Amino acid sequence: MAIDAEGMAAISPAEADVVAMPSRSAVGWPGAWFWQVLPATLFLLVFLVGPVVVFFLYSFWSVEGFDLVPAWTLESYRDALSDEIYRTLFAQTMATAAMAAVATTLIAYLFAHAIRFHLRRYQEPLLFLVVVALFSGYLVRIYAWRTILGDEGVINSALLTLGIISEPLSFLLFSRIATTITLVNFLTPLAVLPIYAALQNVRDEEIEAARDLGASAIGAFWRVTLPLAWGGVFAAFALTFIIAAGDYVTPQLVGGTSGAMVGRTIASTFGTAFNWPLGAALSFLTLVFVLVILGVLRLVSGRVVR
Amino acid sequence: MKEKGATAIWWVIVGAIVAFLFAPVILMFLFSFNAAPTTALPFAGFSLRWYEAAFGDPLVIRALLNSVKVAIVVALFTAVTGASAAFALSRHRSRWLDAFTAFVTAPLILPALFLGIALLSFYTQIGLKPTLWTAAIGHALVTLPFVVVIVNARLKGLDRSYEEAARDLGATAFQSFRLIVFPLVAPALFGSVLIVVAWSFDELVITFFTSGGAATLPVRIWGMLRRGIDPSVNALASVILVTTIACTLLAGRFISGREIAR
Repeated sequence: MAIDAEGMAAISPAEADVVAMPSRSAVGWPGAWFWQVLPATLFLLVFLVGPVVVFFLYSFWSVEGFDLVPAWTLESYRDALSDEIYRTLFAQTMATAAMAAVATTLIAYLFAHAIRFHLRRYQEPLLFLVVVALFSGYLVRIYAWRTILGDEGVINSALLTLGIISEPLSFLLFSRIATTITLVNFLTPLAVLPIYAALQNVRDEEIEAARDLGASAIGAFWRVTLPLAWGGVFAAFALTFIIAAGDYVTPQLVGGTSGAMVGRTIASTFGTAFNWPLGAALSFLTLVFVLVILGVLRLVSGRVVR
Repeated sequence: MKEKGATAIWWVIVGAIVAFLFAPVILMFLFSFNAAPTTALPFAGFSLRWYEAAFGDPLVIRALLNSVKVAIVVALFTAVTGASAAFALSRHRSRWLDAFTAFVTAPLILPALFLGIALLSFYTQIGLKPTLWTAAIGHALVTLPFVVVIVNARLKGLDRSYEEAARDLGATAFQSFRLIVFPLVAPALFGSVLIVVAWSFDELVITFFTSGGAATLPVRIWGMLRRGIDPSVNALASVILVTTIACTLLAGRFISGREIAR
């Protein structure tokens, strides 16, 4: 996944030329497919590989006053790892992102399972609803949760009007709960798609065979359906975990202090705090932590779900 | 009987999830018509005052125009390069093309913040001044996979005998493309471009870091949020919402949810 992007950085344009070799005709022209894929490839080489490489190099640079100074120093990484504030921030970010990713994956699985196996006749429109949700607002959604969870928001004003509470529940907004709910809300549609695609590849006959051989419905689910769909389920978890760990608008708008995440700090190093090397180091460390956690989970889950 | 009860339970679960997904945006849409400046229940009555306030602001009008400009440029660029790449992917197999597929979808699995500041670093380093157009590059990066994946899926599903028949009857390669293949994939291309427009219109993080201060609609809202409570944000957010949902619904006439789920 993210590794692919970096692995691809190794392919230089010179090698891309070699790519065309096998299908060159006698005249010496590469196949049409080479020219068809060339513009997009060049675009990605310049504007995806280029930025990732520069950004990575920046993490080794240093800052003097308001100038970036090219260097090879691990200072930013040392600052990021030794400072108690950043360590707490990383731990909190991983915990919140993991919580959000688990909740998202569970909800998305329930939805995908329901439409694939139990509400088959309506699966197309229901899946399409999820696609609509996917493309209906990122900032809009996060902002909406702020107005829902706030002291004068929908939940508190409704509870006050009904006389259930006498003072607004102020822990709703600017907390880890608020961050998690909001993340789950905009990540769920994203998680449904890979899980649904994986469940589509689980054939009915495979489940029926398990049932015919005496498995209970739950047994068939654990021993057949889930292991077969696990690739998609894990992909959904990985995707939502990465995006949650790197989000910055959510902690900024609804997180407050207890719902703080590293994304907000990274953004500030590129804004008011002007320290791009530190921001770059924090970004790559976040990515590394996420990938290590995902790698371990992949290994463990491969043994449990089989 | 038991079967029916189980189905009802699944409907409740699915209903609850759909409600959770849509409640926030529906509430915000409703509050954009609220006569009172608060977002508290109950509603104070119907009013268009927040829309009037929002569109009376020249900065908002400029942001709206900027959003439209970026969306058009991104749509054109991704349509041409994405469809072209999809042709290669559907007609030829090689491990380089497999690598390309992983490559082109990579921006989708990176956090927008990461891409945004990486692009900003890159532009700074090569001396490219951030403008609306550098922001458009970021949009194209993230939306290109939608076009490639959706058009590729449609092309792979095409029966190639139509094309072969055209060639047998004397059509040139270009004619068979223009008269047979293109009309057959055009709906998928159009649908995927609508998804691109919806996504571009909604994008905040990459734009915020790479537009050099030029505001699109979401960036304008972001600025307003930082200044404090302003109910006309509800109206602007609703404009984005209606645009992206309309684009997605229209796209749904040309492509299926399954084609996007890949």
